[in-house]
Order: sequence, then structure tokens, then C-alpha cells
Amino acid sequence: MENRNNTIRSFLSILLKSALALALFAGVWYVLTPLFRLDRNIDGDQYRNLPENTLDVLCLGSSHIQYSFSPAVFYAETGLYSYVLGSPCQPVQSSYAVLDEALKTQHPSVVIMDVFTLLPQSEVCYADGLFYKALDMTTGKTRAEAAEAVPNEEMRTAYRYDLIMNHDNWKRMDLKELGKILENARKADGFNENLGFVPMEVTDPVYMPLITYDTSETVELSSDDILWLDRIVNRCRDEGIVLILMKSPFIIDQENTNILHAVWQYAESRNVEYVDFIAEASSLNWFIGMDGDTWHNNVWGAEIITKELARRIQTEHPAASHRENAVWESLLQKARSKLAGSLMNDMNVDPYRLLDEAAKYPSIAMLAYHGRGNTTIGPGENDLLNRAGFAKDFIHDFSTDYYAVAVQGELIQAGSAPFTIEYNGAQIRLASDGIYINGESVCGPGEMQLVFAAPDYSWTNSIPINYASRWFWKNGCDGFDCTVGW
Amino acid sequence: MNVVSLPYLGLAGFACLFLMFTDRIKRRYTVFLCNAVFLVLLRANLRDWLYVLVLSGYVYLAGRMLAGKRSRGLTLILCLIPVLGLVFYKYAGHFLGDRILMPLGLSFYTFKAVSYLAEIGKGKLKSRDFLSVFDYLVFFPAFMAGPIHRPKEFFAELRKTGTFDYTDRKNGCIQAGFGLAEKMLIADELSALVPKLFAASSASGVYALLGIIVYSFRIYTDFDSYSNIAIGTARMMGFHLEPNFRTPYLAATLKEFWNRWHISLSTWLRDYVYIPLGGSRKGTLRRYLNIIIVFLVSGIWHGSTAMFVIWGLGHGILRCVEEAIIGRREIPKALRPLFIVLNFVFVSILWVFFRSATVSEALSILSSVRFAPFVDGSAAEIGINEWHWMFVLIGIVIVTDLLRSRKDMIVWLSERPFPLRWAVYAAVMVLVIIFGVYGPGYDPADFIYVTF
Repeated sequence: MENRNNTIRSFLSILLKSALALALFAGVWYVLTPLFRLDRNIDGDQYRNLPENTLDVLCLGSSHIQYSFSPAVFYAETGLYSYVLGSPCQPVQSSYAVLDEALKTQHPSVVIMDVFTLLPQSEVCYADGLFYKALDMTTGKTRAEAAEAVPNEEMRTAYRYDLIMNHDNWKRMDLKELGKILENARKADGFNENLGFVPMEVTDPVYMPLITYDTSETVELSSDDILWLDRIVNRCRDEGIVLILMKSPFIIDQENTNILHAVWQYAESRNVEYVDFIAEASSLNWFIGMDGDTWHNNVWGAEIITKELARRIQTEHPAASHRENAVWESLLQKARSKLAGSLMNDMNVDPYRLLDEAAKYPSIAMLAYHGRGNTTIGPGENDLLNRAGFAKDFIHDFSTDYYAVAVQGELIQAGSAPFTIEYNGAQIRLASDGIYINGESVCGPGEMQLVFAAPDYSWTNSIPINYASRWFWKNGCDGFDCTVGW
Repeated sequence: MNVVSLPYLGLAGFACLFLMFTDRIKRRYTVFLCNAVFLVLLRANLRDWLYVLVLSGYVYLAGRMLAGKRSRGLTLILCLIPVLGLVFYKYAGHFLGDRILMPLGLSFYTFKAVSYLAEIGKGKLKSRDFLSVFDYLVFFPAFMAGPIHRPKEFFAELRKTGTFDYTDRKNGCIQAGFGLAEKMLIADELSALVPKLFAASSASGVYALLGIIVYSFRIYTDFDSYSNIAIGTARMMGFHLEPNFRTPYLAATLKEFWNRWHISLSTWLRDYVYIPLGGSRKGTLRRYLNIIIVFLVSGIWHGSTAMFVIWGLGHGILRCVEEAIIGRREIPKALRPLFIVLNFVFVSILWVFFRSATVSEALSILSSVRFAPFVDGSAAEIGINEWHWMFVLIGIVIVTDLLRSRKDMIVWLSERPFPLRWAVYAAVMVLVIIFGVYGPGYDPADFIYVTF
């Protein structure tokens, strides 16, 4: 009897200590896990730092959305707050997890999702670590659930308990500064200065029309893709959110065009809007080289895509605008200033675009207009000049000289005679022979001189115009030497 | 399934708990069931099952045939049959021109079968029923890579009834746990570094030197960790297997080394090869010949390539030279550290032959060894943290061996107060979680001796 009691006591002791060992292991694991998340994707943290429930439009998807949607442009067009919570090669199941995470702190009216990772072409970017980048943006239950979508069982376990993957980071940590390791566990401070947008500068503005294909055969999306798309659609419906599926322009082939048709069919069947920017590239004047590369949009392309999305949302899905928020306004001010430098620098020689942008983004516009017999200024050009802040009737009063300085659509000073003005610590001189900043000429010869500059003069872009050209406006290739691709 | 896996841990835990409540009859069935589950988890194929069942049946019948006869000739013949099976699987491939897959654990349970029959033949053991024989041959903690434990002690414990010794089981658990940590933390990390170091030997001979040293520690910790897991698991189940290692690199002579390295194989070779050959009773020359034969058998048992034969012969010849020079003399205490280093050098040089595929590869490594200049790990593509960690790991092995040579560290730890003991467990957990070798991208190397 005593033996039996001893055995039972021992049995209970073993169970208790086994439980204690397991608890100790779990505790150690839990504490160590965040310390080894080296080079983690902090986009999720920065998103969570935004003031709660202030977001109007949320964008999801792969790098294609990160490069093609600019919240700064969107704000300039609509006054709405938007954010891109994309990640490289974000699979659709990760997009669902990211949406789930995003809705914990924000409630946007519209969700835009790029569908690149539904296409076979996305296989080129698949790697284990890329799935992880999206997973890294999520937390707690969402994170554990998102890992369930990983198809390989071993990898699924590794993603769910990510210390399995990350513990090896000790090999590349700076072990001399142990404090830095603790910083890995801390939530990232601050905000994404581009609000999730990844700006790609324009480097080689050549025109190459995007080749598109008609659907050659009917194909279907995989059941797995449909499952996750359904979840996203249903979740948006449940939350009263308008979902827009889109595909940003990139170099596509026949097979992937057929899949996009299947996406369109799916969207139709679920009564979801689908915007195929590949099909619309031509009508939107979107060109490979000028506006993007093989995969991604540059800032010019992003401006085109975002403006079109803004137009559609404003006309078809008017989003509820949140009240003005100081944090957002400050973030957008910085983002717009930065974007202005990318959009309006001397790579851009299109005065139509520049005048439109001068009215919307932090910038200085300087004009030296010399009245002549035929300036070829029509109503459209007159309207653009007026919107940029140059308040003169150039059509009827074309013979009078006009010198003016405007800042983001607001006229600072104007007159029919040359003048000098101090602005933001620099001296701007508008003279009959040109435009000077701090005594240096910033404009080449021309019968009409337009100069755009950053408010701090970190960049300038001069557009000298001769009236003799058919249109002195250098729209597209008309008026300047550009290379035509293909 | 590797013994470093959750299924193995689960099986060991359940085996320990079930065996707490079983009487001696149920005990046999419980061990049988655990062994069978182990083979299933191991994904043993039909051939593995058939071979081990047929061998168990043969050993059972041969044991009954030998019981009470004490015939040396018959014992020898009956022992040779399982050995022929082993020889066929190990070496027939060389003659047939195709590699024949050996049944899992064959090298180890064949030697156990010989032990069983030889002991009955000597009249030191009674024959057992089929179930007990199967339990002995397939005893799962020692199935894959030993130790080659002896039948008498095993059967005594298989039939034992009485109180449950909690402290003993706890110590078994500690030993298995530390074995697991030794494998994941030290053996596998060193294993990953060895090829990098040898590959960099063209950049500097110091890498070749370090490669040899690291390989020596790798093979030791790898096998020692398996033995600790096996012995610890068996102890959790109430079975006591003899230690397989006793700080072998602190040995001052080769004789001492072989009394401390893979003890179960050394003693098996002593009892079933060396002594039957006449041991030291038939003159000096015959003794030397017997030593060489024993080491030759050891080399052949390890593998079918010429390199294992060279390794075995190398040990045999050096053992004879040592025997001729030192004999039975004690090494003076003051000179002992020097002899330990010298002995380590000899053992490590022979490990190079053990590891290499050809003689020229081994000689190339040995001839490239240099002692200067000092290097970092860059040429071997080893990061600075990992480079330092390599030396720390070797330091840990040396320090723990020095401690183990003085006292039983498991007993010492188990007698510490609860908070200190658990603080040590937590520290080991942290080390294994961070520095252990596991996760995707890694193919945790199986234990070296499993492949023999």
C-alpha cells in the first residue's frame, strides 16, 4: 500500500514537474521570440502608430501597390487620408491577414487591393522570407492565423513560432551591444514618411507603349485563391467597406492576361469593382520607361494611377472623409514636399503636368511672360496658368508683359514690369532677360520663361518656351527631344 | 525519426510513466509495445521488421539450443550466423557493385545477439522467452546506436519488481535532457563548422589544424550526446545501462582512451574477441597480434571502406607501440597533462583517416596543418560571433569533462536546491533555444554512429 502511495506521489510529481518544464520552456520561448526579429518589417508598427480611426482609404497587395499608389497624390486630389499596407509579394492570404490587422485600429471606407500575386508571374518573387515580411506586420492572433496559410507544414510551424527561423540571427547580431538586442523587441516608433508608398525616381523617360493582349482562353482562379478572395470580399462587406481590386500596369504576357480576365470574372460575380490599369494604360497616357519599368510604377506612373483611382472613388464611391487630423496633416505635408521634388524636378519637361502640380504640391512657380503677337495660349493653358496662381487673362490680354511669383497656387506678387522679391531667404529677380535666384540665372533663353522650385530651393526646374513652336507647351514629345521605344 | 525529436521525447515520457505501474509480466509487454511503437515511428520498412523479428526468433531458438550445453564450438557457430548477416549487409555491396541498405540498428543489435548467445554458451545466462529476447535486442533507447548493453543486467531489470525509485528516474531525465542539449548546442554546431574549416585549409594551415581539433570534439560530443540520451531514457524507464564515455580526451594513453571511449564496444570486443583469441595469456607477440586483430575488427565494424581499416590498424599499431614503451607503468602525475595532449594529438590524427574518403585526402589535410599565423573565421566564411562561439563550445566541453572526471555531475546537480537546479535548466533552455541548431534551412545531422 505504501509502495503504491509512493508511486502515485512520484507520478504526480513527474506530471507537475513536466508541466513546470513545459511552462518554463514556453516562457523562455515567448520572451526570446521578439528579441531575434532582426530586420523585421516595421510597416505594421508604423501603421499602428497612426491616430486611431482616421484612415479613409487603405491599399493592400504586393510591391506593385507599394509603387503605384501615392497617398500624397491621393490627398492632393481628394483631401482624403490613405495608406499603403503592402509588402513585397504579399500573397492574397497575407493580404487578408494584413486587412484583419489593419481593421484593429482603423476603419477605412475603401480598400484597394492589387492582384499581382494571383498571377503566375508572381512566382518569380516567391521566397520563404517574403511571406514572412507580410506576416511580420501582423500581431497576436492574426499572426498565428496568417501562418496557417503557409502550405508547407514545416515552414508553417516555423512561421507560427518564428523563433525557429530567427534564433540563428545571433550569428549576425552585434553582441557587444546587448542593449540593441532588446531594441528588437520594442515596437517601432514614428510613422512611414511616405505613408507606405515606395517612390521610384524617374531615370530614363523614354516612351514605350505597353503591349496588351486580348483574352485568348477562359481560365479560372484556383480554389485557394478564390477562398481567400472570398474572405477579403466578405470581410469588407461585413465592415461596410468598398473593395476595389486593381492591377497596376506592368509588362504582362498572354497567360497572365487570361488570369486577369478570370479576376475580372470573379469581381463581376461578387459585384466588386475591378480596375485593369494594363488595359487602360494607353488611354491614361501611361508608358513603359516614362512611367514605370518591367514590374513597378515610378513616381510619374504612380501619379497617373493614383489620380485615376481618386477620380473613380470621388465619382463612384464617395468615401467618408475623416475630420482634419494634425498628425495626418503633418505627415502629408512632408510627404507632399518630398513628392514634389520627385514629380517636378528637371526630369519633368511637361508644363501641363508641372502647372497642375504647382497648384497642388509645396512649390514656387515663377513666370516671366513677354507679350507678343501670337502666344498660342488657348483656354486650357490659360486655365492651368490661372490655377497655378498666375491671375491674368492670357487669351484676351496677350500683349502685356507679365511677371509673377506664386506659391502652391497662391499668387505672391505680380506686375507688368520686372521686379525682385525676397522669399524664404532667397532673392528672386524676374527680369526682361530671364529669372534669377540669388543673382544666378535659373532659366535658359525663351520668349516665355517658367521656373518651378522647391520652397527651400533644393531643386529648380526651368521651362523656356518659344512661341514659334506649334504649341509652345511641351506636351509629350511635342516640343522636346525624346526617345521613342520599341 | 531522430532521437532529437518530439515523437521520441513523447515515447520516452510515456514509456517512463507506463512502466511505473507495471508488474514484471506487464513490464515485458510494455517494453515490447514501446519498442514496436519506436520502430513504427522510425518508419521501419518490411525488411527492417522482418530482419529483426527473424533474428529475434533465431536468437531465441539458438539460446534454447545452447542452454545447459556449454559447447564452445556450437556457441561459435551459432554466434557466427547473426555476424554473417551483418557482414553480408555491410560488405556484400562491395562485391555486388551496388550499395545494399542495411536494416536499421543492425550493427548494434547483432553484437547484442552475440552477447546473449555467448553468455548462454558460457553458462552465465539462462535462455529467455521470445518476448524478452526481442525486448533486449530492440530495446529502443539503445536500438539505433547503442550502447551495446549486456543481457544479464537487462533481463534482471526486465523482471524486477519493487518500489519506484523517483530520484533515479529524475536523474535519467536530467541525463537525457543534457544529452539533448549537448547534441543541439555543441555537436551539431561543431558539425556545421568542420567542413568550412577543412575547405579553408588552402587559405591557411591553421584552418586545417582547427578543423582536426573541432572534428575530434564533434565526433565525441555527437556520440556522447546520443549515449546520454539513450542511457538517460533507459534510466527513466528503470533500466541501467553502463556509461559509454568517461571523459576520453582526458586519457593519457591510448589504453586509457579505449577504456573511456565507446566503452560498450571496447568491452564487447575485449570479452568476445580479445579474450577468446587468448588475450594476453599466450605471450607478448600473440598479445600484440590480438590487440591488432581487435582494433581491426573495430575498424571493420565501423565501416566497409579501407579508411576504417586504416583507422583501426592505426590504433592497433599505436596501442602495441605504447604497450611496448609504457607497459603497465603509471604515467607520472606531473607529466600527465603532457601525455593527455600527446594522446589527443594521436587520436585526432587518426580521426582524420576515419573522416576522410581516401588516404590522399587525409594526407592532404594533415600535410597542410600549420600553427601560424592567427586567423579569424573570414576565409572559412564563419562569422565573428560563430567563430568565438566555436572556441567557447570547445571550452565548455573541456571544463565539463574536467568536472565530470571528478564527480558525477548528474548526481551533483540533482542534489542541489530546487531553485538552483531549475535555474540551471532554464539557462540550458535559453542556450539551446538561441544557439541550438534547428529550424528550416538546417538538416540536423543524424548521429554519426547511427550510420554504422
